[in-house]
Amino acid sequence: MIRRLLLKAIRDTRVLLAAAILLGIAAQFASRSTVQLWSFVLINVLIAQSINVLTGIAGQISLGHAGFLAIGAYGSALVVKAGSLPLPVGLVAATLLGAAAGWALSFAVGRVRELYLAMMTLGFGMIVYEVVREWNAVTGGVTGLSGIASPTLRNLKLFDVSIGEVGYFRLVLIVTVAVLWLLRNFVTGPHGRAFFAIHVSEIAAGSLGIPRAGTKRRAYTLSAAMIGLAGGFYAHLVGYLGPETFGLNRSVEALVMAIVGGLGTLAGPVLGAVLFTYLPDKLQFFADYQFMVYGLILLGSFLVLPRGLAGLFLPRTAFIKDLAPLLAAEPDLPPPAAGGEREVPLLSAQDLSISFLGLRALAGVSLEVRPGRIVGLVGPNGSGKSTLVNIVSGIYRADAGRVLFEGSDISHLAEDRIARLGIVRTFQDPRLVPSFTVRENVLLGAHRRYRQSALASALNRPDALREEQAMLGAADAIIERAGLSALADAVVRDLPYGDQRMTELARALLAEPRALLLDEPAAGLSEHECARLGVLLRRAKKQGIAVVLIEHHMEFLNDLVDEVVVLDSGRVIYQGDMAGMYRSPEVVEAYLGLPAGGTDRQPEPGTVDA
Amino acid sequence: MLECSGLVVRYGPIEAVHGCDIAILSGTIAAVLGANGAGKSSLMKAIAGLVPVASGRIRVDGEDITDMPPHLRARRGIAFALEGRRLLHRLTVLENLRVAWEFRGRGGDFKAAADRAFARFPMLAARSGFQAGLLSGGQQQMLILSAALIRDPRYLLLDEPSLGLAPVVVRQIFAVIAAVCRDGATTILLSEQVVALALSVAHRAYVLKGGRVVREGEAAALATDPSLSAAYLGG
Repeated sequence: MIRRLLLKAIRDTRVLLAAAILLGIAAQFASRSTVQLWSFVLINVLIAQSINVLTGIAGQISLGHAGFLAIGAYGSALVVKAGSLPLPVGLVAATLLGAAAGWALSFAVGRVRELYLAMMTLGFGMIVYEVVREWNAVTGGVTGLSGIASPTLRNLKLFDVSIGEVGYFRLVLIVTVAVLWLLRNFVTGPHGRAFFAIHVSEIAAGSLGIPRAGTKRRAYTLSAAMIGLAGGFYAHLVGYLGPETFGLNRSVEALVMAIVGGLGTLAGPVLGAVLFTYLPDKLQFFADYQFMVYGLILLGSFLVLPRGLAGLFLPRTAFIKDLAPLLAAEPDLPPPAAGGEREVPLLSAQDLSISFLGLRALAGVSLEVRPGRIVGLVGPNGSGKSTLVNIVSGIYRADAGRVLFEGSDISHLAEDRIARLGIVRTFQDPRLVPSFTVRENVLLGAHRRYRQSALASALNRPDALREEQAMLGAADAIIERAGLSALADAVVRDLPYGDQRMTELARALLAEPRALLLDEPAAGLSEHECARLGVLLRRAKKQGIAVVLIEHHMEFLNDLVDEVVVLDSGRVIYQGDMAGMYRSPEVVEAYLGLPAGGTDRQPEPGTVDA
Repeated sequence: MLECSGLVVRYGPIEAVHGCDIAILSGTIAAVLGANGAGKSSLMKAIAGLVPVASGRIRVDGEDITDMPPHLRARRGIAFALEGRRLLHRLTVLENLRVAWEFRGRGGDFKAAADRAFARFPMLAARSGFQAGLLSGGQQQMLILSAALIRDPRYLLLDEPSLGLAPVVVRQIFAVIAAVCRDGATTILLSEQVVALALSVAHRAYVLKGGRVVREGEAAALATDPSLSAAYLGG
């Protein structure tokens, strides 16, 4: 019952809005200290959501988030106090200063991962802390900055009206609700989902046209803007700033709130913020042991609540807008291109060579695909098939040779640029967002087709919503063709391997690729699923997509491919039709092995006894 | 003999295996067939001890191992090579074998065991000093199988050993599987999507559907049974 109500409350904006209005009214009747505590809760909500955006959603780490909080807090305080500017200017300055710091930091930390990322952000936090401590002239050094306009001091004005604790709480409430609304719209849109893609696999995200560096920069900027704003609110709530507020423990506290609340959800950080504002307040004896208790709660939370409070009693957050899919009239397959055009290769790899640690993986391999043709790429494991696909899709750089797409050289483009041109690939191991549903994962494929800006998406602008509806419709159509309709709302983590592979293929198809590079799409599929895969690929062929297909299932390739290219030790040893391949002694020896019953010259001690 | 009786595996509310009964005679190969989601991997993982069993028992040579942690099962001679190509990617081929050797038991002649592994897959011998992460998919699968076999296990669990491998490698791997069973008296349970391949080496086969055994019988008989495909494709 409570669960259902909560579910409804979370999904329905009006219920949340009503709750916020009630809170705003209730503030009138609460004591001043209670209202002040409520304001702290809201500031902590912003802080926890800031961590959530960065860590829970975009998968980046920050151990120095208090640095951004300090920048926002001192920024707003100085603008309002020293600059004698109105409060809104101070808050905007706090947000922009935070955003600028996050943006600048992302250039450095965007290059590193995991442990190094943790260390670098820790360093950032320490630098800001030291600057705040030592820059006496501006920050007041260790003695701090006092006399900041605040409701408690009765000197805070908003548009020339003096505001007290209640008025200030209402201001923070309105802004926080607005931020949460924007955030929800953002993470349920294409740019928010892109954060998750970067989180799970930067390479896979790149192959969908999601730029790695740019997306991370966005995540840092957005996260830092949110906590900068929280800093601004904090400065004017307490009226005094000292460096000790912005030490490592504040950064840790921010992380704890978000993690215990539930990273990667929208409600979790709100719950975490409420809990961690009230806990220390209600249980004063924490004081000296605060860190220990945080540590214990964190430990306990990992053991009992791996997905945080939100995972305990809330349904999963949907990363899709609650809109009716707009079913476009089944786009009839475009008429096949004119005969002349078909003769021009869409994608051609010319004389590619690459070595890894002195090991020659490809030695002068060329390959061409025309629109509406399927080229099978086969060869022994380690012969360079995946390497070739990795070079064409921009993940590796060839030592020699070049890749042409529609006649222009794309050898030096980054993988997301190549994907944006319409060269889309899948991976040997499906690289999906495990916490996403099938539909959410498939929608990631549409990334290169979205025209809406992140801002339009966050504001739920009508044109952005219409575009989203159209993409939902297109996604549903492809999901149905892939035979995944019954699983569209299932979380992919729980699905068998074969369904994950089909989801990845559906994702690639939603990108409306011009060229499709598939790395062993049939591996792990049942015969039934293989048949469906064949249907999808024939359809792609009819649509004029150029397909390169790495595969080991010969029966699957037999009546599907127009041409087969066989690699062995980084060289092409056969190129032509399937029938010819079976007759090629070189291919039989290197790849197919001798037919059953033939003279066995295999090196192993036994033979198959059947 | 490896026996599962009334085995149930659950992931939260989802029941992946609903009361499976299988019994594999020592020194034979049994194949588990079925569509994706039929419960093959869950069954294998339950026997390996990688997922908890909700109810039912697993017995090996009469000993109940249902509640035994996976590393102890490994030391009892139950080796598994599950899908996903889990190797220590930064370690070399030889180091991977060494880790498997030390993990699965004590004492013995590692050198001889490694030589046996390299004799099975000469391709690995030539690459014994390479980092496992740099091997091709087929070579990694060979290494995984070699690591599982390093202590001549009594029982071997293989989840989709042909996945993503070139026909020539599949032949080699299945030849090794057959030889290991014949020469080393290792009992093998393998799951496969490629039905014909699995039935070509197996003595007995179980067809899973929706987490239940819907068919079982001699592999040779099932291989010629036209109704098998219908049951199998139905997933």
